[in-house]
Amino acid sequence: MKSKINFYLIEYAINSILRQKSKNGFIVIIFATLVFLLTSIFFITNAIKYELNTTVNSLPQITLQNIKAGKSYEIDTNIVDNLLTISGVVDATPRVWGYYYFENAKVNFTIVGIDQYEQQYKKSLQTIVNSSDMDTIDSSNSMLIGEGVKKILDKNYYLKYFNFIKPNGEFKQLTIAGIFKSDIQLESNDMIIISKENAREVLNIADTKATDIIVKVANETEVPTIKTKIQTLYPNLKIITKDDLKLSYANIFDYKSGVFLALFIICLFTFFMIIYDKSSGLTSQEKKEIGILKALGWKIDDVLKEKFYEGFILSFISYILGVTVALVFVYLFQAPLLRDIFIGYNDLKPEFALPFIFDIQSLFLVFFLSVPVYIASTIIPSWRISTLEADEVMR
Amino acid sequence: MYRKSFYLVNIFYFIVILFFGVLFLLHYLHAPSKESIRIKNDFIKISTLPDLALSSESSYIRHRSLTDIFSIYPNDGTLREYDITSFTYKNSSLTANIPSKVINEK
Repeated sequence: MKSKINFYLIEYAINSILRQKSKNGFIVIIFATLVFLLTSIFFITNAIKYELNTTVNSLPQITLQNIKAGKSYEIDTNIVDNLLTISGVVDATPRVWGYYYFENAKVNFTIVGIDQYEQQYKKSLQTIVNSSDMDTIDSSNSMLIGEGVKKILDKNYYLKYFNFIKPNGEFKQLTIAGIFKSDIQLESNDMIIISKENAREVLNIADTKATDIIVKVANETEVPTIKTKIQTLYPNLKIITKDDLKLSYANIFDYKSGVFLALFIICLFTFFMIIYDKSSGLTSQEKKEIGILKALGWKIDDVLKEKFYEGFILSFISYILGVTVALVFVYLFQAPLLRDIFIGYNDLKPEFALPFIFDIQSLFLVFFLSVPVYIASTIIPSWRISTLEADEVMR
Repeated sequence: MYRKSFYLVNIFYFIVILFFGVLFLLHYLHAPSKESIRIKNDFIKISTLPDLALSSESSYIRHRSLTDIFSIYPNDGTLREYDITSFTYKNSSLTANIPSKVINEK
């Protein structure tokens, strides 16, 4: 069976590309850079989205906050009993957490109080904490900290303990009992986990108050109904469900990607200007070339095939190069500069490794946005010229 | 096959193999393992807090989703422009029942 690929035409297409080395080299560089930029941003967004989405199902189903005059205030813990009377609610737990501003380093730590050392926590703590001595975790005046917090404390010579300054000016000394594993740095970098009693002391939250209350519902499908019931009972509460959090994630990433894409659109616009310019006409030399080919007996079909090979060779090589460089840049070098768009300007920047997610959808999106467009812009003007008579073209 | 076509085919092979080589390398080095996902979920169950340790544009914190980045007065009673790009973006009224804090709205 005869091969359908005509190597004579491919050879001609290669020669045609090589005849204009500098022009085509420039096209490859620009094309690959555009593909690189676009895929890089998709890779970063997808990696961070993945990180959030893998953990979102472990979050509380409903969170209640006390809103007064448009601001969030501490919530009374005695409403827990009323919440438990709502059918469908399995558990309601007051949560004590907040931010501690460390003046020396000008950073905010996130302090979370847990019902420390209850049996259910103890087992999980052992899996997520690096600690040479697990017994120190049992001591009531100890704390577990993220790697980012550890670095900041080390810089400020707090190697074994940290002195929290309480709102009344007194010190509260807590020993560093363990550091969270680097696997969870993205989640735990700025986190300090201490006992609920210590958290109340450091954050100055009374025993009858809590930062917010989390509610556990037996049947996931009942969450909207229970939300409505709670809203009727306590109209001042802000009720955040897990779905709201998912929506919020989608929002923030669409927004961040959007800001970047707004910048990128300028590059894209330039690309399409070049494409438009290319498709609106050929140079006299290119026209003459097609005319000669037709005079030599080439059919329209052959001219179009040759132009297709030319466009495909350039765009496909550029695309694969752009994507490969983006993969190396994002996942091996952790996307310097570009990553900053997403991680903000907090001083406690985590040095996390972006998880590698092979997102075939984004690759297809970029492919169809670039390669066929370029090939079309090569073929269409050639088709216009090749439909004319050879002598007319060459004249 | 002619000489230049032969080279071109080899170049194609090379870049495609390079591409898949990079994919395999990254999968080996950076793909999240089941163990790491389990550890992350264990941590989230203990801390019960959402979000990653990344600050949003509101300079103060993560966990903005608990207060909603678009809420009025998230910090204090003064209405300030917290977010440097808020002039380019306004939250949809469909996604949150809290009014947008954008003050330049006519």
